[in-house]
Amino acid sequence: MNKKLIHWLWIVLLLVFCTSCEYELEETNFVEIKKPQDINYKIQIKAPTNGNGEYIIKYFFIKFDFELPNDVNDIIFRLYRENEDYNFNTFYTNKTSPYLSFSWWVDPGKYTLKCDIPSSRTNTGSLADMAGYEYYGKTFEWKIVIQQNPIPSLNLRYDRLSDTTFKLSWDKPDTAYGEVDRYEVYDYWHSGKLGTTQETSYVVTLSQWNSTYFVVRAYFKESFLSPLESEVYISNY
Amino acid sequence: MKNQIKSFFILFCIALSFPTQAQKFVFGYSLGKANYQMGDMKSLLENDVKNIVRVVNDNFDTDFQYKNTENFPGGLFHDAYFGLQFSFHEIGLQYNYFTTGGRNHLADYSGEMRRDIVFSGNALGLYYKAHFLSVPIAKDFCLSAYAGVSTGPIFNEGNSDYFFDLYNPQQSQWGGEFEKIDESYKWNSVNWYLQPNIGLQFWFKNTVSLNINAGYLFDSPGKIRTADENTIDIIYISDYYRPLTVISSSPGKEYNLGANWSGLRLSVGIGFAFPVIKSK
Repeated sequence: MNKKLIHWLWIVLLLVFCTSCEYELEETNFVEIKKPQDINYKIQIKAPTNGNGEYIIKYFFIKFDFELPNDVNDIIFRLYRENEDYNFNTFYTNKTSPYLSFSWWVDPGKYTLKCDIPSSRTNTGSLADMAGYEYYGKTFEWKIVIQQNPIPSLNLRYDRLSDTTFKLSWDKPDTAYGEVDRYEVYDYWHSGKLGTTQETSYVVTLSQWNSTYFVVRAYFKESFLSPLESEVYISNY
Repeated sequence: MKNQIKSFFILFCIALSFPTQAQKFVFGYSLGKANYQMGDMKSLLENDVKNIVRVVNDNFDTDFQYKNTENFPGGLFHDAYFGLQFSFHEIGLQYNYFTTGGRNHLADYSGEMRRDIVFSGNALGLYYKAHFLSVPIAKDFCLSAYAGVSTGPIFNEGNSDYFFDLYNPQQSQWGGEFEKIDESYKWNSVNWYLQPNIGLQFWFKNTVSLNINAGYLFDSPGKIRTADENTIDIIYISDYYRPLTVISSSPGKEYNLGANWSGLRLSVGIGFAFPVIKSK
């Protein structure tokens, strides 16, 4: 065959091969959408931590500090035993009650506590928003050690100052338990409430009856804590 | 389709007898502009947009901006031929390459969603030209005009892509992690074409020519079939489990859709002619 013919044939085939490229799609449709505003969520456990970063929960409740946006009210906590994937207890609370309490069925030990802030759509109209992957909401997780210590006692006692005068004194409750708002002192059998004090002592006098129970109640600033109460019997007989 | 392919090869075998009478070999390459009908593919993309926009707007009371950005435009096509010419007649093999595509697309700061379809067609056919005019216009230069027809199969390859990705998705409100969707499906089909055309050739020393050609390709599209093993039928893009688009891609499934390459063809190119070497 003519060599020139083969030469030009190869050039033609090469031209066809090199220029036969598949169609490339290049046009796009980018839509400008305003991004959602950042919203700060803060939930902080009010308890000390150990060297492992685990929160020490001394009693039967956990106290929190909340900083949440206005439209978030309901908060869900889930408690998981150590190394388990399913939550064995769920607690519901809201922004105005920054605590959760549990009882005897929560044994002392290590747990994981998770908190889900219920979410709401950002309503930006973005792809992520409409697909359900863009919302205001957050998940928190903490490692905690529940100790279930006994409820503190006021350990009410007295010192005789004179024949009819006594000084009552008592122990300030563990601050991990609660912050005392006031102490109220009662003559349980006779006069009822005798007074209110911020101190851990109070001077009382025996009435004409010569004996009574004096009762001291500690009221806490945390509204979910019931008052602690202690009593002592004093008699002149 | 089988009968058509049989006829094609019979004609090809008859053409193989012509070298004993031919005066010269001819071959050449042209680059041209074509437009494509692609009606079925355009409808596919149009329905894709309509369905998705309707579902999203109904559920979110919004104006979803998913739209068509490219709709199977016409473009360049390649034409190569190799044949035998004897006086008035020319017959040979022709190869054409067509490609086009369409896209539906939406992107914003949070992610991207698109549906792409690209088709390529390899046409391999027989052509016939009748050189009805040959006029010398200057020394060594000659102008010739022809009318012709070509026919044959077009072997189509198509790719349909579904893509949905979010750049920084939060965990779904119901606990699920986002999974990117990037599904690709290959389609195949075979068409049959018939293309009448006319053209001019400016010859230099009867060896090299500049060709100008105009024609119209009539295409009879074959049904497309899926070539892959994918079996996803419905794509969800949220944990709400509202289907935003429906595709079905079982292996070897046939659809009542075709890639129709019908349209105008205009091309320019170069050609070469060499005398047939007769054996002693």
